[in-house]
Amino acid sequence: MLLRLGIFLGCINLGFLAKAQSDSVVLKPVTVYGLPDEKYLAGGQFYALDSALRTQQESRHLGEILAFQFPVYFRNYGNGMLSGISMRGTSPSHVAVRWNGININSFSLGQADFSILPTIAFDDVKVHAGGGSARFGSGAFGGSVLLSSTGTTTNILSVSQEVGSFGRYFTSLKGSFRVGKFSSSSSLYRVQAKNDFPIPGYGERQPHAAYWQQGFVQHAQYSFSEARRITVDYWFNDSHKEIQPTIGNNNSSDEQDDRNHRVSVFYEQNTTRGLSKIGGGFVDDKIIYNGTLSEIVRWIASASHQYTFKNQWNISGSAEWNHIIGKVKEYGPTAPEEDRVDLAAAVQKTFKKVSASVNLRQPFITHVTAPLLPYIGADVVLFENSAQQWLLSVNGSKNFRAPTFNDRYWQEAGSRDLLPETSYAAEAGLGWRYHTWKINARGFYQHIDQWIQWIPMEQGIYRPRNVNQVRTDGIEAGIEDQINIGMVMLHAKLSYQFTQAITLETDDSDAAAVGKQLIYTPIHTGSGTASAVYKTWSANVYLQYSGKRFTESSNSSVYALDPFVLTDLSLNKSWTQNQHDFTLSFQVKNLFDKTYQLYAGRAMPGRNFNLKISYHLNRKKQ
Amino acid sequence: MNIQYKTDSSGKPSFFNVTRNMRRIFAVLFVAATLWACNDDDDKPQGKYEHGAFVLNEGKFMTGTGTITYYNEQADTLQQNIFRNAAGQYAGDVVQSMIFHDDKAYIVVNGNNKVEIANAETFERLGSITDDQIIQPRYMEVVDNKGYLTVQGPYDDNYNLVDSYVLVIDLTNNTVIKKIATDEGIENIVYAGNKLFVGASGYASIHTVAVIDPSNNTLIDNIELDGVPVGMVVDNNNKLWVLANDDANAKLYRINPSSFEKEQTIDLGTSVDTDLAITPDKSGLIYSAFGSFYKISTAATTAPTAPLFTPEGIEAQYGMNVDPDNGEIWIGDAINYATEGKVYIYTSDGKLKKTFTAGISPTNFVFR
Repeated sequence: MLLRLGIFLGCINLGFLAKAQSDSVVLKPVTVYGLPDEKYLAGGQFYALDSALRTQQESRHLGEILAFQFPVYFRNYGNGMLSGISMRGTSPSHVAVRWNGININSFSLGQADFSILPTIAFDDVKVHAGGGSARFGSGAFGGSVLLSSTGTTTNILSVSQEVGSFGRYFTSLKGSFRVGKFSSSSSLYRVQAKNDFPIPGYGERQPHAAYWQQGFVQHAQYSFSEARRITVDYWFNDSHKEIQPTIGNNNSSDEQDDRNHRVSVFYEQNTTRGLSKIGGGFVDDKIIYNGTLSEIVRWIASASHQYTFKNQWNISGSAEWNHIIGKVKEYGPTAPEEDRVDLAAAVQKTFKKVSASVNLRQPFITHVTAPLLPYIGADVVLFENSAQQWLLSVNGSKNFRAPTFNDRYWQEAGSRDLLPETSYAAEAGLGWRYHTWKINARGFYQHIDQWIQWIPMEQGIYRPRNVNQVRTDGIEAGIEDQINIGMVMLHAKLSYQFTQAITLETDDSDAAAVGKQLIYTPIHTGSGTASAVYKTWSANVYLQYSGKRFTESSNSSVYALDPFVLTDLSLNKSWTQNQHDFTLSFQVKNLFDKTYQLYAGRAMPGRNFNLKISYHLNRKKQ
Repeated sequence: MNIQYKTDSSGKPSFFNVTRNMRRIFAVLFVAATLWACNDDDDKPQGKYEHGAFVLNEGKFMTGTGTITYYNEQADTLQQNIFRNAAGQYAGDVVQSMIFHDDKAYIVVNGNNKVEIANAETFERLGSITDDQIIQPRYMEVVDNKGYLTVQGPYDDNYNLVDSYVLVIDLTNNTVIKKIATDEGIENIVYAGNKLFVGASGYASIHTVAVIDPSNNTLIDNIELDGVPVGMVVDNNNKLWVLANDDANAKLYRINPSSFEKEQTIDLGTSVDTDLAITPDKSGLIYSAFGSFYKISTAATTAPTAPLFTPEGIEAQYGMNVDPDNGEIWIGDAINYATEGKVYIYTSDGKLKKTFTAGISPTNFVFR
């Protein structure tokens, strides 16, 4: 393969990354006359993916690693297969996934397949939990996953190679340069796996689950001045999977290819008059299932402006237009086209001990009446001194999800009269920081109405209908500390979520679901990480817990999936000489060889191993 | 969704008849045994499946949750999920049909492309029949210790079946010994008058019943019908009855299993559901249309005008058969194909007798 260079070289470790960022010459620190999403969503809960985990497991897809970090659940249809996120009791289509500000959920299915979101493609991964449609648009009920690959790399070159169990190989190459006002960073990656792991407790190897995935990420920018620049981002991801069948299946032959092109071009102006962005994008999502192509093409144009008044009022306004074309055989000979326009405004103000914000969004969609979407939230410092801080966070929002193209245009099933799903969400949390300890707890509530479900009608034909009403509520809590014992730096983080997701109303055909927990929604979810760094050595332990999950709507225990705890271990050593960094990383996944399933009938591997070697050429310190 | 049990084609006392006599003895023994052992653990297989009804539940598609439910009418005991495949949890993905032969149960698991073999007494797993040619298997019939498995074969890119066939399996070593090509979309297979009859019900354009001679394992005829064959049974005169569905006018054909002639055609004047069953004395046929159940004598020449009964509360009728002991009509309700289904038992004169919860999508009933 392209990148199989027989490389035995190093990668960035947590420590190096922190150091490297301060050495950055690609992106000089400049005053940005705008605020990040966190500020505009005051009172909201944001999580950031740990950079050590991101780096060590960059060859994994996001659906394999996020559940080790936040209380989320992934229904993975096998190892390396289709992966749907579930946050705060909602379904995979109730999480908005955005890449560089563009929604990349499938417009045909509604959900994002996390198995085609390889971690290597992103420089930053953030998760906003809870209702956020007023900022992130359609589908942000359970939360939003915010990805960016805007080239924050500080390395001239980095190369990495992994070898793992079950015929798994991963190769990546990253490079960046700057010539005058032009700078560029690029990544190339490829992963492939035979994936013929022994099915735990079955005595046979998993047949028909091989996959490969490769891609290219390009970020380029031309800075006319400190304040004005043009950026171009391009991401191509190409994935091929033999679809892993249910345990015991023989002679399986289904295959799927996913090919996604995503481009965005923006002009940015960052002056005392505010931060303006104007630009557009193009998204082409192809799914080729057993040779049949389904394609959704999207053209995007957007403009936004942020301004800070002297008295510290921040305002922002934006407009975004999407033109969507659904070239799917099942939609009929004429590809349906749809326009979606979103107008949004936000205000943020920091008072003495209070940061408060209000967001408003009004979407306009062809033949769909979308509601006005407000978000209001605040962070209040209740008490603060040099040793500790108590922070109260509250927010409330109205959210919506537009019916998908499948819902609306599937011939002889879809309905153009479907209403959008809507929800009201509210949450309140308390955070306590005491020296290095961080403890927080948060209660959340959401009421979702007009939830679209495909229900069997006459002759077993399924049709989408606005039938479900669902209430989700729960508590999430986290604790984190960091201490130094001699030369050893220890860091530990635990999180837990209690989630109830109860069907209040549904179609008569599913009457047994009323009052019951939604399927694939664990009541108890937990995650934990612990790391120790000693000089150039580091060790990490990652834990993921999921309680019992029902797979059948009346919550029959016959079909429930058993609870499990997964443990991953990583040992890392790095060497640095002048501009050269080497890292060797050894990982054990599923250390205790647990048998578990994330989706009914799909096997997951037992204990397995991975070795990673990487090399970085860093820029000279200035 | 139809079911075949071993038919008594030769008139001699067959395996089937012997067990039928024996089952009464077992029933008495079983009742006695349950009285003694009334505090048995319900979860454990009781190892006594000699007599009773087996509900085949497809399970939720593509999740491997197909199960077999056992109901013993005399003892009124219900056991879910009695057979576990090698993975140890359920029977497999899309449990389609089952046939008893000798001391074994052969379970056709459509989604897994396998035939699982269980001990017929204990339902412990004995092994499975696998072969590269087993792709979407549907039903099996046994003649002379050879299994005849109907196989729909793979789909092409447009989800059309392109290569359906019957596989002949030597049950002494569970290997495929021959492939007999047929029309596309074959389903049911019935043994009558020394021949095997295979209904091709996949597509509206194919309206045939294939005839296979098991003495030399060749296809010897295709009987053309005016409608898609969806159910087949053998009556007390050893005649084959085929229910052929059609949008407006389904038909019942009586076919001579030696000459393959259509001796009688009855217009039903409606489209029907995909099951045909026969009463215990094999002189009456049971079918359903639009949620109503009809009984027609094998001597009749016209369709019945009034239904025998119309059940209430069924969301998605998915399987039907008649208990050969007492003529009771069993109906499977898949509800929404994703939740635990229900079984309705109606007496032979159409009164609701019992309902119980089965597995997901109950598609077939096998009695013994």
